[in-house]
Amino acid sequence: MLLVVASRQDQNANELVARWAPRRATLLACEDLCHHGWQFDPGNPERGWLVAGGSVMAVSGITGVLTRRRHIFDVELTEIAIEDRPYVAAEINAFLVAWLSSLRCPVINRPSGISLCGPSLRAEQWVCLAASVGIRVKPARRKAYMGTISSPALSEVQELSEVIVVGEHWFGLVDDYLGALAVRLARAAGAELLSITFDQETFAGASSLPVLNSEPVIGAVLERLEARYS
Amino acid sequence: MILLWGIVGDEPLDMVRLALERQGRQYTFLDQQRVENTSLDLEIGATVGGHLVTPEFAVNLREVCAIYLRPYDSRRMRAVERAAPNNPLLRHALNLEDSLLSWVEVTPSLVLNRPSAMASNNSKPYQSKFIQASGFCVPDTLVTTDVEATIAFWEQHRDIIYKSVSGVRSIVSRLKDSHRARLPDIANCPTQFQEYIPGNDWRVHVVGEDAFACEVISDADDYRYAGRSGNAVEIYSRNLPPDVGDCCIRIAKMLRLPLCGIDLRRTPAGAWYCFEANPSPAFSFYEMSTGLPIADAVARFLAQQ
Repeated sequence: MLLVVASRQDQNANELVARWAPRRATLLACEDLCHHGWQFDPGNPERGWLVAGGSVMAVSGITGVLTRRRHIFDVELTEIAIEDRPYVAAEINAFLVAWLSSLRCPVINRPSGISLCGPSLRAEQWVCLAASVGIRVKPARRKAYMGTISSPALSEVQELSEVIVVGEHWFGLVDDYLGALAVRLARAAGAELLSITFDQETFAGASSLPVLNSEPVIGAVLERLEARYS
Repeated sequence: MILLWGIVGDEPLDMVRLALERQGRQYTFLDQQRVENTSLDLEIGATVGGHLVTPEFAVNLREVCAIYLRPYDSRRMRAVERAAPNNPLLRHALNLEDSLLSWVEVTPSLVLNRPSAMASNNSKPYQSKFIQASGFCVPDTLVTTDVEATIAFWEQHRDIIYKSVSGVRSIVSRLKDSHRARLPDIANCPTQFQEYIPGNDWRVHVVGEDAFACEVISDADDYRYAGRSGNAVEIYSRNLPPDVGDCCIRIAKMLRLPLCGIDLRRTPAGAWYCFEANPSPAFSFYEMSTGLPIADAVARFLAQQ
């Protein structure tokens, strides 16, 4: 069974669940976290139980997890009393970070301490990391003066190209050299799935939550989700 | 150059400032309360540079070799709280805080501690994975929304505690019969239960390669809140067994927390359990209670870089 951790409002995630229905793909939404049936023993996570699509199921039946969100927000927890939502949201996020980290099956992307889905780096951290793997960067400038605000914008954008990395593969209309650098950046960031945007050959941004609407990319993600557990 | 960032009156920061002065070390103190007079120009590319300027000093960020940070929410600074809701000072304060947090993430300097490293403490069971790998025992744990599973875990261990999974409202309490009627509420939120571990608490502060230990004796479920339950707390400086000290330093390295406060419990049988590693420890309480020279060690560690 494949799990897709996402919001019920996430159209891209819902399309993936429908596409992977023959593989018993199920959406795990925030509502499932406020539902009787979860059992997680961090010392023995495979023997636990989870709730997805409103049903209780064994963790041992999961073959792969695709995470399509970085956080669960308190405003989404409409079944919870308003005054309790911030606390419940904090607890659910903390729980999911631990639970997703504990799974032995493929999880794309595995959580970091601060994000349910892979690295959640600041723009400045991405620039530093990109430079460290040999990608050309334009310096990110930030000014904090009383009366002036600058956002962490990288530079004026010219012509953007997107590369999506899935494991060791990359997809996009760039040359092999840039594609290989994108794979190096994803590896350095600890992300199996990463979108990297270039302005010409210069780094322009990265995201661990790329839109998945290209057949080759979706195929590579599925292969990655199923490969090591079969 | 050593940079300290925080507010006057924050005890750990004040103690490190005094320690640096006792040791005759140069440092620069960025007072978060004076946000309206602070500006920052940050440039981050293949290298990290920029300038931090106040009426008292101008710091070239490339010359900063060590940072100790204890910032508070900028919205709580006096000048910001006094300002009208749409005052530009609030936007400036938030921008400055965010820019400084970006800088401390990417600077090659020693940082006690980087915010990204501190994040492991936001999920106790996530952090416990690293703690277990360091060699300590961790309590049997169940995080659940299932009442029957909770009761089975309770019957298995006879005595269990509950505490938050995240860092919010993190108070440890024993589960008692009087809680049974409320147990169905756990269906609304995954709740963490652990076997109760008998014994005395130990708090270990790791500073680089050094570990400072004290033993805490209290009948309270959570000695940090002993006053609320009318329990007394006694704290004594102690020497750690070398292997336990090594485990503590190993945890600090695994979690990328060169300064941390590690919560241990030693059982009557002599087993060592670890509950968590605090990434921004209020070591002042333990230093004032025992005389352990933790602030001096932090100051020396900052100066060694």
